[in-house]
Amino acid sequence: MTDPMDEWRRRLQDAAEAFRPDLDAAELAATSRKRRRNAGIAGGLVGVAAVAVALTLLVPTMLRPNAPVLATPLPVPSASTTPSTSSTSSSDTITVPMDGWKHFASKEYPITFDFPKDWVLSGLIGRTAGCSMSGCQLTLSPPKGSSVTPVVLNRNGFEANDNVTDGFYSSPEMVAAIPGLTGWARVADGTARPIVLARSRAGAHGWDYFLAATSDDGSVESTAIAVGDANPLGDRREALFSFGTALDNLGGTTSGEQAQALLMILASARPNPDYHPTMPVNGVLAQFDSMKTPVLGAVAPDASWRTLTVDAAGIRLRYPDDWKVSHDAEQEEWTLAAPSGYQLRVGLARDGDEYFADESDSSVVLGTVAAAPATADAATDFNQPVVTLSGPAEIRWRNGGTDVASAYLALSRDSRVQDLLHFGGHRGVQLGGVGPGINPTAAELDQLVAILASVTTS
Amino acid sequence: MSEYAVQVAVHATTSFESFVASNGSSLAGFALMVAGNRQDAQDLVQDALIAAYPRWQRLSEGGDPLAYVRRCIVNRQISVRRKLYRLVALGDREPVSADPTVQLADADWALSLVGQLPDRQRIAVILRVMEDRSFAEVAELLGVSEANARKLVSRGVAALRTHLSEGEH
Repeated sequence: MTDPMDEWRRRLQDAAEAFRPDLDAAELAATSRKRRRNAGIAGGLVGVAAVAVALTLLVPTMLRPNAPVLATPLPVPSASTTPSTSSTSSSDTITVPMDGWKHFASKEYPITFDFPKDWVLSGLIGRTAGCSMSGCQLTLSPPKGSSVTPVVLNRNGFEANDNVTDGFYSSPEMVAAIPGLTGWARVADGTARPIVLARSRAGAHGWDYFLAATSDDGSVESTAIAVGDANPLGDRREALFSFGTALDNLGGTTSGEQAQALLMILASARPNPDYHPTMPVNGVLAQFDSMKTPVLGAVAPDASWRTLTVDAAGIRLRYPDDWKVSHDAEQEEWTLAAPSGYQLRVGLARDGDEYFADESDSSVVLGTVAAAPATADAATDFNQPVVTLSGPAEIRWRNGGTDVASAYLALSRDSRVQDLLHFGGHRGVQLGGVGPGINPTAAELDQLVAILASVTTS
Repeated sequence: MSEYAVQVAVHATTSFESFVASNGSSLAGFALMVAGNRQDAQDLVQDALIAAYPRWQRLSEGGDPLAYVRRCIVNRQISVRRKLYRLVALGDREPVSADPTVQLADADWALSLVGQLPDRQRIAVILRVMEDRSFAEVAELLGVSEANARKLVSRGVAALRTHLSEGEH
């Protein structure tokens, strides 16, 4: 009998091979050229052009007297201590007071910048400054009630990925040079490129503004950039960042007088001398403190503990009276929240029973639960044979680090660890501490282990 | 030997036109699987090629144009910005039958199944199951950890199997 999956694969492959949309290279090339040209033409017609086109940004030196910030179309005018932006193509002169602006610098981000004191930075999570394994992101939002769009500083994470790419902004064009700011856009870059203030059309929403690197001919080429004395992109893709607006995603506007502060913020970007793109994961991203290894049996259920029965999974467990239980029927999930907010989740398998086992689990076994014999499928890959595991559920412990400290039930063999367990032929279920966002207290960690140890088949 | 040398020389100076002629079909097929429907797939592959064009000289001389365009296709599919555009164009999308008993043409049936998966799950499944990419490659392309890539593939495959079993009844 044919596996339905194989049949599906065959038919999908056939569909892909039969799909022949019109791809005329000459037309595509012409469209590409036209988009770039239109972006430039439109720029001269839009109201925001009074600020953006042929823009001169003269940001004062009030905050950092030794680090004047100056952004200007070439030729570069002389630096000024007057807080103003002015257009060289008209008599428009716009003043942007920068008194009392704050200065942002964090070792997790390659640039520093200045921003008005009533704008709000979000994304800071403890000492990790908005970082996760897959990326770091800060959002700088205008004061409540303002229609101005936020500015987003986004950088690649520490795992191999390209969250920050050139794809986000289409057909970027230069607005103003930022003298003194250079960076890298390609692995092969031997010389740092000028970094400029650029913009691109954000559909019908207006213009996005952002930093970008220029190519040899002076055109804007890359909006995913890195800064620093040497090119870090050869082996450190995490150094790539973008700094700009995202009108489509975040709404708001870049037009009008209020938005002029936004341009000043972008133009105030400077390399962060304290940033190092090679910060080790366990240094920068150790979001959660290490905890002392819990001892199985240190805490035992007493008469005050309550009982939770999960019929669909064929189990019941005990939990302390001060842990609060909630049930999400749609998600088929029970949450047991400790007083600190730390959570143990009991979740039924929702997508079938084919979660792959983990081969790189850093957890260790604290003990087993004799009253909870379980089975589990421990395939590690779609193309690998399923290995069926059985035995008393293991209580495994994983210390804090890039994830919260956790204890959970699993079965394992060799390097395969499967935490989706079946008890007595019932639906698969996962039980484990998930945080989220915080470690448990030491006492709660012991309680968590005791809860897992209390699991019995029903 | 001389033939090999000629091939290398041709490859090193591939024009945009010859690249589109040689790889357009496979890129379109890839975009179809990534998008899960034909309208989005056509937009995806065209947009990716349009984005590649201004960089063509650099790409064709020292880069990997095919990998670049494929990455563009994936990036555009999962970008939030593009999702907004797709919402606007939702009325133009092909109807997807929610009833597994409805008979669809072979190709549409396969597409409708994969089209029901969330974007990241679908892309992960396509990369892993259809293209035999490693989990590390899937993770890199999607910008997630390898563990998350495994989960995405696992859950996507499980969802497909569920849909397939429903269709058998």
